[in-house]
Amino acid sequence: MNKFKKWYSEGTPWLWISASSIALCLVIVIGIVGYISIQAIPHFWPAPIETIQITSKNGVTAEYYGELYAEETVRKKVEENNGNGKSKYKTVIVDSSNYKISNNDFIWIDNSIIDKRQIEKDSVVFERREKGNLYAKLLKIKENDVVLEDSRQTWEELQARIERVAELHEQISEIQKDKIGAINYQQEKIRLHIRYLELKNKITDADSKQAQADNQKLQDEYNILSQELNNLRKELQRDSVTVVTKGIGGETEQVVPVENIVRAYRPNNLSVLGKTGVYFDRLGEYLFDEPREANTEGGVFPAIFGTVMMVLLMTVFVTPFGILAAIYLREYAKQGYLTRLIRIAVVNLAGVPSIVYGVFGLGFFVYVLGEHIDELFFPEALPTPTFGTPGILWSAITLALLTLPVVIVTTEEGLSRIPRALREGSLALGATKSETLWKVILPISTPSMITGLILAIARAAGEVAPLMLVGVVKMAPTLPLDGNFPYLHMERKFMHLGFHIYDVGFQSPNVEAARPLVFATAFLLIVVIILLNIVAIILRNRLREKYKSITG
Amino acid sequence: MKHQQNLEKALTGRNIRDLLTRVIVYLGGGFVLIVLALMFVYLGYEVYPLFTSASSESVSQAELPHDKSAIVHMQLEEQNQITTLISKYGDMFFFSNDDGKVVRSESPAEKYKVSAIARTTGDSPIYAMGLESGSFILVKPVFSTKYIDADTKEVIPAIEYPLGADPRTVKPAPLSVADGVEGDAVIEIDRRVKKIAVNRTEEKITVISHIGNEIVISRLEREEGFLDDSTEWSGSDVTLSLEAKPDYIIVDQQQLNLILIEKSGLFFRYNIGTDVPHEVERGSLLGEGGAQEKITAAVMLAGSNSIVVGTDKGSISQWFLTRKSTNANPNLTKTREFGAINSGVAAIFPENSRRGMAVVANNGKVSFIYATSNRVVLQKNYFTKGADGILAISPRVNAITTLENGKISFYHIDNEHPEISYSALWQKVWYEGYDAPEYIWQSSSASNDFEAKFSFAPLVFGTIKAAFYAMLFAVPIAVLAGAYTAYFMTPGLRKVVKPTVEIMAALPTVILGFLAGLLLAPFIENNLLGIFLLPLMMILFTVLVSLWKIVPNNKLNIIPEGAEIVILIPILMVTIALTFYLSHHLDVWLFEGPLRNLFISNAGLEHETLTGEMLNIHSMRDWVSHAYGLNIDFNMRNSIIIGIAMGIAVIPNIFSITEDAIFSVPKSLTSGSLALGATPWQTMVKVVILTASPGIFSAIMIGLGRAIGETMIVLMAAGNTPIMDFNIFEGMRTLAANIAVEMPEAERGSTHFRLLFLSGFTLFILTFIFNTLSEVISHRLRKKYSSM
Repeated sequence: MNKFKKWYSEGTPWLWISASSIALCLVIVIGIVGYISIQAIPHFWPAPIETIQITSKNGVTAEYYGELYAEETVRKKVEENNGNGKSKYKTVIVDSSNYKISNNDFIWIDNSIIDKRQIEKDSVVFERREKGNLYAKLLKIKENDVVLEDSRQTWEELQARIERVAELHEQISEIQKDKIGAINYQQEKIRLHIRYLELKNKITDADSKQAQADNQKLQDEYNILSQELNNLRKELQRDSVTVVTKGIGGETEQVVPVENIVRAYRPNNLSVLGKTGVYFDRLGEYLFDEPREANTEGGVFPAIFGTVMMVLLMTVFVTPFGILAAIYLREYAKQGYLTRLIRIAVVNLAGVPSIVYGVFGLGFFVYVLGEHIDELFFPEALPTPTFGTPGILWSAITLALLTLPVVIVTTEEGLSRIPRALREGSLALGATKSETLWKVILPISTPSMITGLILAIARAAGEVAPLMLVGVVKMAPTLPLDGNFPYLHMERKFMHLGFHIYDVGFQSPNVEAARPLVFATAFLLIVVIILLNIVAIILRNRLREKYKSITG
Repeated sequence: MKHQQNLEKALTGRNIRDLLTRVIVYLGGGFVLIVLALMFVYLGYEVYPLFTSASSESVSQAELPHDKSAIVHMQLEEQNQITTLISKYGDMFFFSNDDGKVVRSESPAEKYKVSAIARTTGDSPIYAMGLESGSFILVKPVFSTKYIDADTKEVIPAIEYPLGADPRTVKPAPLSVADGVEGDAVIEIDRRVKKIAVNRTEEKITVISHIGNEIVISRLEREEGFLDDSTEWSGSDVTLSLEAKPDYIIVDQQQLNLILIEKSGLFFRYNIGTDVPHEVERGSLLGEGGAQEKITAAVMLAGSNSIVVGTDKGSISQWFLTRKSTNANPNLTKTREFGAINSGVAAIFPENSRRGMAVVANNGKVSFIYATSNRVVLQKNYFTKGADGILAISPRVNAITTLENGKISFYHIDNEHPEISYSALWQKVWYEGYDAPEYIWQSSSASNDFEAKFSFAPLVFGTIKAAFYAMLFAVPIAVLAGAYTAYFMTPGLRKVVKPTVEIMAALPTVILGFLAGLLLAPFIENNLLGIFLLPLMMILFTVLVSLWKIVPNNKLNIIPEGAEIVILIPILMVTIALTFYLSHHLDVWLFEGPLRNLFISNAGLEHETLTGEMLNIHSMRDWVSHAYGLNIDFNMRNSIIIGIAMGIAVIPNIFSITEDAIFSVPKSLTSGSLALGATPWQTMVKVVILTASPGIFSAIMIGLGRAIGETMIVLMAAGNTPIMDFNIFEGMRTLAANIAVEMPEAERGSTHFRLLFLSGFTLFILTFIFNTLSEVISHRLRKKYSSM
């Protein structure tokens, strides 16, 4: 009893509760990162296709091909007859399975009504360009409506044809996006040039003739390309496959044009190596391809590209100002009223909600600066705004303001760790203050600046709210960097990984079906951000050690 | 000599470089201040127009020729170039505001005698001219715009007859008693249209003609021609005999209500939306002491829901239909009084699409009043005597024309944001169509003449509510965690734990929002009991584990002091899993069993008489929203979710600052306390936390600032409904989320746009206060520590 009293009076339970608080924080971090990883990493792994036979309560039997999506324990209200004719509802807890029958179609099956689950070797997943996955068995391949006879090679034949279609799609995309895109871009430039001359009243007949000739030339090129495009499209339609699917009505045959198939594989028939192949194939598609089906399928390449590009642009703006401010605070300013004020400003910049930066960016950069830039430099495009509309440049500048305090604080911390002796030594040798700065202080403190930049990048990569106002879009038709002069198009809108999560996770028509993709994106983002942070932490710790040894 | 010159040169070069570096560095330092000041100034600059009153500026004046007198109606078209004047004889004059002369005249009723004229409400009005001969014609002025070049355009007026140029007879001449018999007198009856009223939609026109002691309701509907694009209006007339002697006849735009008003204040409301129009309500628009008061103006405001009446005593009031209870019939109710006029009301001219109006007083003073905000935005003496003054407001409310004694004046008006007043933003407002004053934020709607509802109260309330629940979750955990990490944890663990919390801070909020909105929300809905049990269970298990210490001969006590978390992490994980596993079953068992029986007996019900309703309670979640349970609303995206998700977002901020503050408490203090025999925990509570309390306070301030401005989590997991309800099971809409939702579609420069800037400005100021306070406090603390 005495011991118990002591245990209490010493505050041991409280101590443990505090320990439990930090433990909870760690559990939360581990939980979040772990959960996202568990959801995201297996997403590209080919899951087995099950053949499920069920008999429902009213005796109807059905068969499905499906991928097990989730198994859960849920509460279900069950009607019970309590003897005197009145029915009563009771909640029972049942185990059930959620099967993905096709991409946009889930069915929820109570485990008790499943008669048989089996794995058949020849079940095929057809990943389609439209309408998601199809689970079926391959029956035959048709070329120009003629059935291919050699059934032994059907599977290899199908793969070859899918590959052919993929190549055709690539050619089409190249013509459509790159070549025709370039023609459109040039035509628009000619139009704007003429409009510019008109506005300046400097237009001559020669100019308009030249423009007409140029336009004609582009139009001719366009005609040739569109002819080519038509031929390719015809080529695409050559093959089709007939497959057998299962459902409530029994087996049905279905014709799928090969042009609509991205990939076909038999997960039940694949070795681990084969599955790994499919895994990396799908992962590659995710990382390097364009999105399909309103962003819920395919890749996120434009979003990765947009995020990286915006963040890099941001670094260009934030680096000089952040470092200069830190140098001012630590090296130049007399510690007094003004530095107090600046420090308060830094703290406030760090604490102002990000959405306020968005509001400021939209109002000041887009509407005030952007419109003046348009009036001065792009009057020919008006009333269509060039910089007077949200875009990647304004996003980068807005986020540069947002991350400015991160760079300042980290750089200043680095500067503060440089021993006085180094500065005094340099000054004593007759170097000016600027020479000391350039030759002594900056080289030593570079790692701390890099740390600041890395942290700024990590912060900017995960920030979404302000971008929604100053430049991010759901679907950008063109990347901000392409082959058309001046290559870097800073006025364009862009896609962003964080916004992709918000948009696909909350705005897409079938949130459930898109969820694995959102997890993949969340995982990608979180991995990049955690890696950046870890690098920053390691750099900082090393730096501290280093200065310890200098001072020591 | 040469050597020395070189040295000097180099020196100056070096000095210049030194100076240049200095200038650039100073600029860099000042840049931070400039950015903050710029944000402040710019946001303020966008917000400022909301709080300015309207202004007017005289542009031109002209005399009307004498033959163009007896004007009874006036109208401005959208480009503000043409003022249309309508005389009591039905003549229309199109007056150019720029040239100061009449550019076109039309006499649509030349052949007839006009006895009454009325116009429809809203933009591009149609005029109904009642004739002496028991008939009316409809005339519509139309304007086409011709571009002379890119910047100049000319507006060309014309008139149209929607029903054709011939009058439509509503009171036919009686047949003679003995038709064809010579010498018999035809009975003369009064067929003069004494008063007329008209309103219309695209599809329907209703004209009310007051003849003798009857009113004739002509309801016309549009029919598309079968073969061509021609449209025709057809319909029938209904005649009602009247008790009233109406002085004002008002029809709403939907043509459902007809309101007849006498000068004495009596009103009669008819339902004209049915086949047989009938009286539904009568009453008085003047109060008890209204015997001496006379109504001198009655008009319908834009949107056709409200009527505004003014009296000779200068009182002005707004009326619309409300219900006393949900099933009651709607009654015309006085919802607002405007007390701005010291002289009798001469006339009221409503705006075309907003809820504003210009009230002309007998002393010639014109007051621009906005109904929703109950605000007088501008008062000016446009007239010498109000009784003769006519005023026309431009559809865009950026100009007016006034006419008095043949003198016509054109003014520019700047009246952009009359919707904003202290009461409109912060107090309950009685909006049209509502049965009582309420706090509502509803900024836009599909319809053009919708009454915008700009109450800041629900948004600010939502912001506070979200921050409150987040802090409720975060503060205890973060402060305790910070205290433990700084004071008890072994240095080796601390080196791992601190970066991990930094990573927690780096988790993008969009991911937290996604997890909270899509996974946590449904999970908590299914495990409501579990989430309430969880904190208790975690404390219980932690305390149980700590009891190990007093187990005698404890061989298991291998965890060194300062490394308690090593054992606690797995224990917490198990606790969480166990709690939800158990609660799943406990929930059903409790709420279908003992607890439900308790509610039943509390509700005074017998088990045998159980209704099917009661049987629908199966879990805590059912119980919350059930009529026999708590009976409050339950929303899947609620404050619990926000508390947890946003709590997770702010924990690292509070943690780091708390940890720093506690870690930097001078060792001499703690050593002193320990030396005096206090246990570590006692030292912690009595010495360390007290010393570091300003630092902890500043940590909480920073956390609060973050919680107030957090956007993505609230946007994704709070449901975004702007309601005022502290219910933990309801969501909210915060200022920040509101900006993110509405900014992309807010029209630039509009009141809505500026209000969103005001939201941003408010957040800016709030966080500025919190951050500055926090910085000042921690600065003081640093000074104090350094002196110790």
